[in-house]
Amino acid sequence: MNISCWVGNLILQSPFVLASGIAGNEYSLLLRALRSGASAVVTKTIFKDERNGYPPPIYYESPNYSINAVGLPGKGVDRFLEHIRRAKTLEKPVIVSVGGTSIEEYGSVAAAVAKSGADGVEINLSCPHVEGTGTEFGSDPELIRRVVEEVKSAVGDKPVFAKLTPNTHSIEGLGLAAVEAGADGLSAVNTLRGMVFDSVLEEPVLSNVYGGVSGRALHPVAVYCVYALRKALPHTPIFGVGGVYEVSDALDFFLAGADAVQVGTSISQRGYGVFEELKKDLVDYLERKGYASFEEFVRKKRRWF
Amino acid sequence: MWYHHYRVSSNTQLTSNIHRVVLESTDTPISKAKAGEFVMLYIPAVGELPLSVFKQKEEELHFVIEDYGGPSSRAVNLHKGEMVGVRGPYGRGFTLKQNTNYLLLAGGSGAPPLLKFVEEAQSTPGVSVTYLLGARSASELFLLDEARSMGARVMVSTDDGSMGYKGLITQLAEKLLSEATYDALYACGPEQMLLAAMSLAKRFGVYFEGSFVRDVRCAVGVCGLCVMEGTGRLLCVDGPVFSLHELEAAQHGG
Repeated sequence: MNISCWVGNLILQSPFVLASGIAGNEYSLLLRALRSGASAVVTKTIFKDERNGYPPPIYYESPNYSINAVGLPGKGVDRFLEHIRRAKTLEKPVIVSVGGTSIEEYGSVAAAVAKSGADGVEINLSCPHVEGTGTEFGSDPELIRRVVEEVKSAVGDKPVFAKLTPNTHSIEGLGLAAVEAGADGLSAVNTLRGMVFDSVLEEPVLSNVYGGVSGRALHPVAVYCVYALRKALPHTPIFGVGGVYEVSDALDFFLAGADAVQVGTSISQRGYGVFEELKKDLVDYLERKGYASFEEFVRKKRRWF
Repeated sequence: MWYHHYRVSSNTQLTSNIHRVVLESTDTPISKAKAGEFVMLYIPAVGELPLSVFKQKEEELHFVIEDYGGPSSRAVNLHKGEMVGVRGPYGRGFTLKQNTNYLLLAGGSGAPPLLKFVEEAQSTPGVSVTYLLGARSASELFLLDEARSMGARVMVSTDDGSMGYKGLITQLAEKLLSEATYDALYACGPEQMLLAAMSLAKRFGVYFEGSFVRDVRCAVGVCGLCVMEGTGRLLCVDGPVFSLHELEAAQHGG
């Protein structure tokens, strides 16, 4: 069974990709995900300078969701370039997540990683905008436009994906802004803002007080976002991201119009074995349903569009 | 449950910067930890720190905590009655096999997981344990009677010679390895000491496991900050105890 797929001009051996933020800060970890069956990886978000991130507690997990406020730690772009080169030895796409606290920073980081061999760039739009007043780039279509234009002009012909936030009243508005500004594709979605308390200790759990919700609770929200984006943008490549644990979760995304999915939070519970399990279960599903390929399933006309 | 809640029942100073802190469960205690496995201790409004479990009874958790700055400075000052959160146990601990002659190297605050190992080894057939504790001077040595009472042969090294062997713990280990045969060398302490112990084990052809330290934050294999560089392994889920083989694959990008 052929489960390869195209996402824009990237060919993937399967529609299961490592999501950004999940142990993607070092080449050996990226290689581990690729060797474990991920068809591509998205790195942790890279900024121009080194960032420490937040002190622990930075993570909380319940059966239905995780919430994190890691604070985007990283070694800075100069020291990360070597990791991109070394992660590329398996001939699977390495997509680098780029961040910035200014529009110029997004552009300069994207230019550097593209030159070092990144196969694509994913723009993390959920970064704090230092010139703004505590807002993030990702909730303002005009800022998205400017960041995407800057990144697109910096990376030449490498594909650019905009990772959108679900913290918005109009996901289509954000997606349209990104695509009109030149984004080749979208990743939907980043985490939902949330917070959690420990009522025995009467304290917020995260050192940053609030954070981003991922996992099962994010899943139906993310599936809807993909659906809304697919309706508004029939031909744009879309990665579905949010709460993929079982193949049924991935199928939700494909039925909503995603070309491929990114897997993140479930790795903490299922380990890297999750990629091979998803691949096997997708093949089983397609065979049972009589499809000749993943492509046939995903291109099938659906009445909800 | 993410945090299991505990109340501090005692805090005893062992050396100038090392304390023994005992916690008592107020709801459900965490499940049994093996020697070398760790928990995250959450001190409200202060932060979290990774700690290896030193002793564990039904409702009780014992830690030996060193003040190395950050939340640990607060942890050594926890006072009776304070409430804390504990999550875990996490990771993989030391392997314990029957009929094995173990040489254990504890550098300073690296003692707790190895003392727990001594305790576990007591009830394992055919196991003999030599426990070495190294420090700069006699005033920094602690819990020697604990190891003795559990049946281990105990030896100490001090840099200044104020007690036991004068020199580094790895020099004492080298001496012992050339005098007698050991099946396995286990170590916990500063990275430099671990690397020296590892090369000793290699030289003498002895099986090695070491408990390492990295920047542990999520503890569940997500954030990636505790990567053992070049190995594709995360300290929080694949460690903190690694064998020589696992770390050597490291050098070759495996």
